[in-house]
Amino acid sequence: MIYFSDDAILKGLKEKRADSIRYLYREYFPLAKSIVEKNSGTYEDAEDVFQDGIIVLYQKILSGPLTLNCSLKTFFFSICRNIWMQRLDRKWRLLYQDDLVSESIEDYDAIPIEINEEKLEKTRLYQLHFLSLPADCQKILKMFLSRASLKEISECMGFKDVSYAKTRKYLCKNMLRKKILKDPRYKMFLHYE
Amino acid sequence: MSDREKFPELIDRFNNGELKGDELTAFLSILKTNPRLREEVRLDSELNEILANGDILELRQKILLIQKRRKRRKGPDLHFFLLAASLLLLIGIETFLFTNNTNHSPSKNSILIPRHQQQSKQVPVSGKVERPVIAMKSVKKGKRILDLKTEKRLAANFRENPSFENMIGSTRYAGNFRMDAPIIGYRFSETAEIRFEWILDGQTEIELKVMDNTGINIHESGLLSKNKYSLPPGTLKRGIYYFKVMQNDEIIFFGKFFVK
Repeated sequence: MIYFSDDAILKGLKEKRADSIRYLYREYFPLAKSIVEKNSGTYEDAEDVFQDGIIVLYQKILSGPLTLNCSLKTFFFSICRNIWMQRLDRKWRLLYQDDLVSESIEDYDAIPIEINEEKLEKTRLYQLHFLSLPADCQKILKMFLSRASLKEISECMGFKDVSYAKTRKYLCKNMLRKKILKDPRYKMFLHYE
Repeated sequence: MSDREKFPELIDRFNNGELKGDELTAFLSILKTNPRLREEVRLDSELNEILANGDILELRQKILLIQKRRKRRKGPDLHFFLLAASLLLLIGIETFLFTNNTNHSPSKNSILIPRHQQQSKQVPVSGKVERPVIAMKSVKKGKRILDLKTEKRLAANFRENPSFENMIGSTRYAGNFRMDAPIIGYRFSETAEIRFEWILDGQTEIELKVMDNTGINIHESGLLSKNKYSLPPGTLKRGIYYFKVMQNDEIIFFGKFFVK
């Protein structure tokens, strides 16, 4: 079995290498699973927390050189624990509409890591729905969001003119919004006034 | 095109800062009165921000792919298989014990009633203990314990009586009655005492009739007030026997045993 050092994992993750992600999954997923399952979560919750944990770690790597005072495993454990506890806290508050949960986030924030848990969950939800769109829709939206011109998009997709590219963009975006709005998991993010 | 049909385009253009002048004023006034539209505009703006980060999207895609592959490799929950295997093992053991019990010779071991059943018999008869009435179909009729060759050799005495076979276990009794011994299909040795034991609530009396496989009455017990009865060793020849437990001329149990 190949062993990855902490530095090798961080380097591999920065490059989004599949072997590093696989290694992380094999070695670190049990950690996320134990945190979640010991705290009233399911296997699926653990998978979500693990995904979010990797995204947080990746963002930390991108935001500058990561100096760890502990092992990467301990650091990752803290990230996952932090995410799950914040999530539990938010869901309880949503359920009971009050401050029944007296424990503050700092209580389980052993290694202080700045995490916007709600944004992480939203990001995951939006990205999952985006990835469930038809391939051509994904391609059009990706090109629009990377600021490609309508002419470039039309040529790349083989559309007859730029106005059709524009219409397709609106349709694809609308399809994505509807999918998300219909998702029951989105309900907790609704801001109807 | 109505405003509603134009919403997807308007939302997109609004968030990209492309709406100007009257178009912008009109859209803003609709926004003020339409909370659902406001929500869509907010969602669209968040989508623009989140999906613009292609790196995170690419990473997510890779994680999902790995998760999916691992799940596929892992297959269904191992715990489920362990539970199913344990259940199958238990059923197997029970079947083995049951068939073994029907085949063992009573001459070597005269205890006909399992210990737990003997204990249950100590419950006062007057106390109404709920026991289910045995439905005919649910009663296990025991394994066919004689192979064809043996049956031929033993000839007529061991031929099953089809009419009686269909009645085995039947009971129309509304109260609580349970036949503890002999269990259906029990094999007594020719030299063993044929013991009958049962549980019946109240002080009611029953009658026991033993028939051979041709339907001829071999033995009638008369009215019995105790909950056990026995035939001395040597009373019955080798063969299949059927017995019925009667109460007020009504059959409340029909059983079968072998003497070999």
